[in-house]
Amino acid sequence: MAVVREFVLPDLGEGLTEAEIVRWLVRVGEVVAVDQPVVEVETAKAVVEVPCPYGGVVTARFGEEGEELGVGRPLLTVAVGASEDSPSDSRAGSGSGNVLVGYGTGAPAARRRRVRAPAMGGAVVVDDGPVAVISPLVRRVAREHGVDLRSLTGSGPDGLILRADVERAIAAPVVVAEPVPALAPAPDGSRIPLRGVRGAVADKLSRSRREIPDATCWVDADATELLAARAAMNAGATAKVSVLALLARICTAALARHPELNSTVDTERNEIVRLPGVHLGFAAQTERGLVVPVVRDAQARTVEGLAEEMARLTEAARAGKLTPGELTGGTFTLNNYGVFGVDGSTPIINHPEAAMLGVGRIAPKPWVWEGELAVRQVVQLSLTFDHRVCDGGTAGGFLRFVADCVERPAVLLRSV
Amino acid sequence: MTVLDQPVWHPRTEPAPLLPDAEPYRLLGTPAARALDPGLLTGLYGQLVRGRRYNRQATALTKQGRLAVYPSSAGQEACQIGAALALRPQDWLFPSYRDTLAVIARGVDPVEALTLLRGDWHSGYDSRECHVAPLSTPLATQLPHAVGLAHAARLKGDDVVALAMVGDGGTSEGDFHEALNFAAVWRAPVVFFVQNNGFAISVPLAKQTAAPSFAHKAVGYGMPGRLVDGNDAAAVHAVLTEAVGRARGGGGPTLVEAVTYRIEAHTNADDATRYRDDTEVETWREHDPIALLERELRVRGLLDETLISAAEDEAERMAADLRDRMNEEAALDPMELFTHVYAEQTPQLREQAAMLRAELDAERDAGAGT
Amino acid sequence: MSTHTGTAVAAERRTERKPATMAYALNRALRDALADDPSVHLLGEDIGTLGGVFRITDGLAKEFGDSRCTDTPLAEAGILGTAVGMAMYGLRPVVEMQFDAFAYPAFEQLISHVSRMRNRTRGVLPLPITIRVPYGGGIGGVEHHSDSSEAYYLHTPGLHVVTPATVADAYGLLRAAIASDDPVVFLEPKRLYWSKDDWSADEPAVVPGPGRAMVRRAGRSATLITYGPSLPVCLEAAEAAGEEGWDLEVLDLRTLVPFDDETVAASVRRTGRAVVVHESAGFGGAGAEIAARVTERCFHWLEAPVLRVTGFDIPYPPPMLERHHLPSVDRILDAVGRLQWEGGA
Repeated sequence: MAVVREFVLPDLGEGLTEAEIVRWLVRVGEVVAVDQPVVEVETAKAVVEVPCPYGGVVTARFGEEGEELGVGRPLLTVAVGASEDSPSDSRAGSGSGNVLVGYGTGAPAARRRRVRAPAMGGAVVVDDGPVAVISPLVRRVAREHGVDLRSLTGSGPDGLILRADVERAIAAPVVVAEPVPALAPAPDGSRIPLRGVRGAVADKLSRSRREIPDATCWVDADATELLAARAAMNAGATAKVSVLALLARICTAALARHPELNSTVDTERNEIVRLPGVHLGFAAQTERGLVVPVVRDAQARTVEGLAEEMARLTEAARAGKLTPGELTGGTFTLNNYGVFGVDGSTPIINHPEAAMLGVGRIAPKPWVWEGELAVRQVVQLSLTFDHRVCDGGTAGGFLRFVADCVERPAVLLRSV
Repeated sequence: MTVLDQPVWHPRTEPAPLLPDAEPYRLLGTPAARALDPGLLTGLYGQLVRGRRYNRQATALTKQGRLAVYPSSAGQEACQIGAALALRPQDWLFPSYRDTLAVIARGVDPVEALTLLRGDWHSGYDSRECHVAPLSTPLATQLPHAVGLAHAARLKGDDVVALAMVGDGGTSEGDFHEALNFAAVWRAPVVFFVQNNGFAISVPLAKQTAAPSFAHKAVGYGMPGRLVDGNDAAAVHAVLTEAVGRARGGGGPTLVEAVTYRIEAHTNADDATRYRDDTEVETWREHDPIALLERELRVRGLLDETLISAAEDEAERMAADLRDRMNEEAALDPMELFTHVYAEQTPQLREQAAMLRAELDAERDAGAGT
Repeated sequence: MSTHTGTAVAAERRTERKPATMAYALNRALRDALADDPSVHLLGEDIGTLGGVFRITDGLAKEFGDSRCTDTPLAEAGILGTAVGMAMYGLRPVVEMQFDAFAYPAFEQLISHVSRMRNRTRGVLPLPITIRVPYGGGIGGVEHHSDSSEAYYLHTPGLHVVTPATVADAYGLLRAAIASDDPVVFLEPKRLYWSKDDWSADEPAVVPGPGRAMVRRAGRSATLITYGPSLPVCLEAAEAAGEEGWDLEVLDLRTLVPFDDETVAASVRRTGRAVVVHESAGFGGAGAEIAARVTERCFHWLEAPVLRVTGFDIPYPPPMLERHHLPSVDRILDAVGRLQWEGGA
């Protein structure tokens, strides 16, 4: 690489043996070229500039200005830059030195300072590598709904995860939702992220409350006759009709009389959209949690038909086999929160629907029956409705009709 | 009936007049040289001294890391100067990477001429202004360019001669053949100047051609060939001037071979001892172009202190100026990488330029923050 | 007995692995090929007396004679064209194009004949020619000395395209290329000529043949796919990536044609993310083909698009601006950062 060459004070002619350094023309560390004057010296005759025969970097100067220097004494040393030897002969360094056609391999490129925090959540190393998913889109859908791909069994070839697999997993949330990261409880309580299904549901509920000016009215009703009618219906029948199915039929009858409640508000166009069909959502509690399957075209179904379909959907929900079509598109929801053992509630409308009928528990309660105190099966019914689609009269009328059907099921027979 | 009687075919040109000089043409040291204008001789001398100093300085700069590489024309100064001085301002020079001395003798600023070899850009001078094509790194590829340019000038009615320089190695490339053929068929105003310096890196003449001389190749194309002593500055100048004149007058192209020697290795990083003897180099040093000219000047009583010191002072001035300016840092603009790729920058290049811009800004900020 | 011991010791010293440069390994490969097969003939500019401008053919003309290691006239088309003729007559030519960009005059011969003669003659005239080309930048070279032309070669059916990045591969792959009955464009990363590794000339490490890629560094976050002069940069980037929480796998392709789909796909299916790194311009470069193949074969496992870190779409820059053009550690890490890491699958 660099070779240090010593330049001695040359014989300046005329038999001189020494000279006085008048002025240095270069500094240590400076780059000098071959033949570049480096110092002015004074001889007996004149001041002379002395050129240096080496090109490179000055590494040392000898003698101060005003000092006498003898001929042949070192004047300065120069580190001669590029290698003068044939480059490939030198095996010493790993660099090339000056090459036939260029500067050579030279020093490695300097690094730009990079200060990047490691990715959120620690190491981004995925333990088992990626899972095969049919497309990035489906992969994204899974991510957005907090579905852990590794927990799925793909129904595509070689276990390829298809869109249907992910959508099925979405329909059966909570259990398959992203596991809560095991974070140590902070002093101010433990934190559960609102992500995946939990987050999606939270968003929907917030939106509902935010956008819909809802109101609720409720009424207690005597369901004793309804239960008796049901018992009579089911006597000797193989397929049982559930109370919920009966309530569903009551809903559709009520909606036929008050179609305003089977609507949705299009906020963009500022219009109320009266929907033609009743797609009735009903809450079903399964081992996997709460799901709301939808009975399509409930208005066209009989009690038996409703019972059958609701049983099927409930079974599918329990098995986690509901399709997206069975989970979406509802126009009205029947919310049987009575299974939790409570009477009343102010349910949150299932946006973008306009109304929800809430049914509390059916429990024996004191009642006035034919003028006297009796113990009857009483149920509290509540209607939450989007006040934009109708006024209190409509809502009250709807709820009254439902209550009448519950108390005197024969009323329903008028709509058979 | 023989083929000679056939109506269509007959030799188009008598080959004999196209054959080159039996021996390399010389002037210096011959009686003919006495007739040469003293001004021409002293002018050549000044240029040669300056040229030799330029070669030494450029070599030194490379050893200091100021140039990436320097293919020296030391020993070939007579060819370089002769080529440059034979041209008129409107003529064009087509140099190879070894011909920077010819380029600066033509008037191009030395720092601009050395841009390619310094590595801050690929060409540093304005070709349209200087009438000098960019230094060509691939061999002989500039020869067809010279033909095309000369042809275009003539089509436009302009009086322009193109002088294309190539070495002994370059004559083996296909472009050499094609260029000479085109030039001869089109009768283009071109002078092909072959500097035969004996080597193509390490490959000697004997392995490059079996022709009696490069000048003899001219016959094959139907153009005249001249053979000249490449270290005889006066002879080179005379032959090239004559060739340029022939081209100007509509006489078509000429192939001129100058026999010279590459005193230094191929570049500073080449080790010439691997393929040639020092004694051979020494022999050629005795035929040094400056020494030859000095001898003639001395005989004519023109070589005096004034001339010598004037030449050396001018040479030193050039060298010092070159040194100073080359010791400054080159002005670099990385964004220029994206500017001259197309007439109009593509969207893709705009994107890439933006990425580099962002990186450079980050670098700068990081540096500032350190 | 002492002789036996002495021989054993001497043999041990010969086979002992010590630092050897890639240039030396290439030289040995040519030497051993010349010694083992009399039909092997070297042709090129300055390869004989000088031993090559990078000394790759040092000493070979002296040992095997001018007719087996020939200094040719300065004409790349002539070199390759005459090599075609020699191969037609049963010789096994190994030609050198002095620099990547000087191979261009030879393109006619390469595309029109070298790549097609077997096909044209239904296998009667295969051309077992090896074309050695020093390629790539990083040597501060002036115009035309730093090009990477592999895209033209890999796009020409009939040619094998091989490029070593290590000392052991330089020897092994060159020997294989010369022995191959297909024409091989052997791209030598010139900036790595001076790179060193422990290697024994007498017992050279056995390496996989052409057509097989190798994992140089195992990792799990993402795969860097590269070849030739970009391998060291990728390894350096992988080292640096550790500080940012990434465990990068580095894959050395070693061969562009025939392409090792299997190893590449297996790697990307393991990591789910890939970045291709090469010096030559990105548009229409090798990376484009690699990205397409990886996407086709690994689509379902990909967490992010396949990205490419390449030279810009510009003529190769002058020496002083080269560093902005060549893929750098930082630029590679920037690309890795864009591989869509937001928390989990």
